[in-house]
Amino acid sequence: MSHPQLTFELDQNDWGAGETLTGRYRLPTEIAATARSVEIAVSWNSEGKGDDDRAIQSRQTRAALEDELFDASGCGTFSVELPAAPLSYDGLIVKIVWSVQVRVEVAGGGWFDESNIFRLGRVESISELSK
Amino acid sequence: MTNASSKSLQPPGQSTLRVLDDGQLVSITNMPTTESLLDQVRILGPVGETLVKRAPAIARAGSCLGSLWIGFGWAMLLLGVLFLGGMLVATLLFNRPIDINGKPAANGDAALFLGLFMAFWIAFFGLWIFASRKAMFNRDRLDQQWRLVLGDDEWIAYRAHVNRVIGRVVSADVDRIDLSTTGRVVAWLSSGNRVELTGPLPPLDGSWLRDALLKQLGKPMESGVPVYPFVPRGDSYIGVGTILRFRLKRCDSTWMGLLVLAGVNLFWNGITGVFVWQAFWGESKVQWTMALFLIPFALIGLVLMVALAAGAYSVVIQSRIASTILELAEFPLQAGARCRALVSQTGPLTLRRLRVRLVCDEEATFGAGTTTRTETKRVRELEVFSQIDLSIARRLPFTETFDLDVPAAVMHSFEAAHNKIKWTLLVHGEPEGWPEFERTFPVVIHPPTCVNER
Repeated sequence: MSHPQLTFELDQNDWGAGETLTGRYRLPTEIAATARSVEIAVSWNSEGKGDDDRAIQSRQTRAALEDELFDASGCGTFSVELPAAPLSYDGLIVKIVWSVQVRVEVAGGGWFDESNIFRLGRVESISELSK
Repeated sequence: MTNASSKSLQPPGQSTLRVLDDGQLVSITNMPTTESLLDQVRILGPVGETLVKRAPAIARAGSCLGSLWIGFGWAMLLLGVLFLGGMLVATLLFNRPIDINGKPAANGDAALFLGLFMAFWIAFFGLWIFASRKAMFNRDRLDQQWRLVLGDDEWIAYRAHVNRVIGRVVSADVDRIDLSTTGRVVAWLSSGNRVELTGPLPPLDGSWLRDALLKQLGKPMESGVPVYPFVPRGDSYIGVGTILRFRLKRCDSTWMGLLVLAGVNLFWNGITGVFVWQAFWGESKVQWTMALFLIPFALIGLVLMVALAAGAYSVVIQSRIASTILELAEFPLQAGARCRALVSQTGPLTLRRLRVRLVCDEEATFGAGTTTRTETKRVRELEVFSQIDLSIARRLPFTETFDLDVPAAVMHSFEAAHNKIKWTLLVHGEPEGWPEFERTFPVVIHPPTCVNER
């Protein structure tokens, strides 16, 4: 089940290696009140010609019973420490794409999820260079 | 002494390792969870599900098949040596005649025939055992998934799904823990023995596990070169330098390729040759049906011989040009950093130009039908050294140091299962009167220093 009500944004799209990535997510207050848990997963995956490679840097799960998931306006924040590698890369046949996924579970077994890509590091784009 | 607890063992982000705690024993494994395996094979539907559920049985069968396969090779080798050796001894010492092509052969001919047959038999089954161990039943491949059980006094590493022990140590006997060149975590005992505690691991997992085990033993951890996720270590790329600290190793030696090609030629053309001889000279008349049937085999043999000749020519050319040395003051290199480098070319040689380039190749491996293909693309070339008009005397090698600047914005070395980014230093020479030569020295580039390392 996926609904458009979950909005999610990062404080910026370009991050340095080792920096702390921060962002916020928002749900309508009446739905936010029923949230059971919020999971934030930061991972990378390869794109391009080769078969898929992927790895999860971190997966944080916060439960409503232990943590305040949303404030009164239906907004929640998160922060994740980023690793030193691999850096985002836009090559000709190999690409590395970092993304954050937010998944909110609500009462009744439903969930909302949304993901955003971001850039880790400042590596030159080979596909831009070759143009 | 150890009392491992799962709370004190937390693998870093991007690690493939998992810590399992059943309340009594703590284990570390790189076996994926059933859920993640099911997720990976979802595309196969019920077949994939069955494969995952039957993984332990498949692993046991594979392990058993490996032993049977290699055991068969040894049995045949032994049987052949005993049988053919016995016949040879009987012929030479007891004058027992044998028939060749239905006719009794003289002792000398029989001994030659038996000797050649035995040599072929030994070569065939020797190759069978060697190739099985190197390729199909390679130990690094079989130990790819493993689990390490951390008991209070004893640590035992098992191959995944089967109870075959990779290594077993009494933790109190462990003197130090290291990483092998294949990425295994190995324990050195006070007796001097070396015991493997895992299968091959990526650098990040290996160095984390080494440090975690040293911590369990209460021993100090080494603060060496930083380890980054999915960045290769490159230990096998370097040796000790004479002027600068590290000497890079060449990876383009053509001798091994030529030897393999010669072996394949010997095998293919040896067998084909016997049949060709039989077709044309084995009987009183030429057997044309057999000769026609042999044409494609002979053509393949011809292609192999041309390839061998071309390979031999290239090796002769390369060996006429004396050694090239590259040394670095630091290894690995780092994006955005400068490193002192040295290039040395031995003579006698007259060169129009000698260049050193730092090049980056992308390598992608993908399934294409039932086969796996690897495509490589050169994406970056940076000239880091160039010198023209060199006349190098025999006993006076050309040696020059230079600054190797690695740009800050280049991608670091990267190695995952299907995608790689490889950096190499290429020495390219343009000799007078000889074909150009190129020598390849792989290097590792680390990412720039990140905020929490400064």
